[in-house]
Amino acid sequence: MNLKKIYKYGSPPNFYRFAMKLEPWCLSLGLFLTAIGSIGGLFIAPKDYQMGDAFRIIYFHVPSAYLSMSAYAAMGIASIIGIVWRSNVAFAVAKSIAPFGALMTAVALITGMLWGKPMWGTAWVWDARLTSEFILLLLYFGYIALHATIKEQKRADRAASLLAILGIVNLPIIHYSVVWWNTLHQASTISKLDSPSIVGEMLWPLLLMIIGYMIFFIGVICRGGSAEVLMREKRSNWVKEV
Amino acid sequence: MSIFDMGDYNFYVWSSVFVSMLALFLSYFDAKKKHKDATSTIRNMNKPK
Repeated sequence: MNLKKIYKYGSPPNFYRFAMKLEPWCLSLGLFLTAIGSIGGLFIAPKDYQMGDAFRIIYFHVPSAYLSMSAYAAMGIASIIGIVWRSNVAFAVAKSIAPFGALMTAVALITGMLWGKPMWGTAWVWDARLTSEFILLLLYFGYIALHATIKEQKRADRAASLLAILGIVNLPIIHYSVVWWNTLHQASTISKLDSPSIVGEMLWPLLLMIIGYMIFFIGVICRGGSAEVLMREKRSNWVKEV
Repeated sequence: MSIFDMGDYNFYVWSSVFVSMLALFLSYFDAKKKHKDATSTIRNMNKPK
């Protein structure tokens, strides 16, 4: 790919125009896929022979858990780009991802508790998967708090980005926690792409939900990121034309 | 039997649906509000005095 094209979107006006064009497409496609996935998961997929209808919670738990980690990875990558290339757009994108990622992590934990209560008999245990996901939530809170407490924009960007980059180490720990330790949380279901431990009739709504959530996330970040870019560039001439 | 009936797990399943959908909509409206606030700040800044 032509690197010049990538650099082009590092400029605030180009990023803003591109994000505002992309946003409605991502939101509509994301919501459409999520709606189809929800209908498939709640009403079409067969009951699990052991868990009954309670298994349907995975159609909301798994996409939010995937998104909590993907959002953090995106925030970490944006922070690296911001620090290495001193890109204001990358810092703005990283900052706009943080509240959304925190919300998705909270949803993953809450829906996990709603699944754990009837299935495990308890809503919470300090096992490796749950604890590492909880640490992810704390990392998001730390990023948001650090950004809010430092008044000077550039220092706040750098400090929060360093925290985001350090926190990337938690992502493989979350993913492999069920392999490395004996956990109450079940092992991976669909990440074994060659042989997923879930039947096709149950799998397709889950995949639609995951893709739908991801596309919706891109749409929200387009809107939130452009708002952040506008605020940072409020004294620039191009902003007056917006 | 209604298709909305999840048996013993009604509360758990529908609470998960509610929490997830609420989070998606809140995140979108939060981003939209931030954008609206940013544009109105800029418009106020550029108002002729």
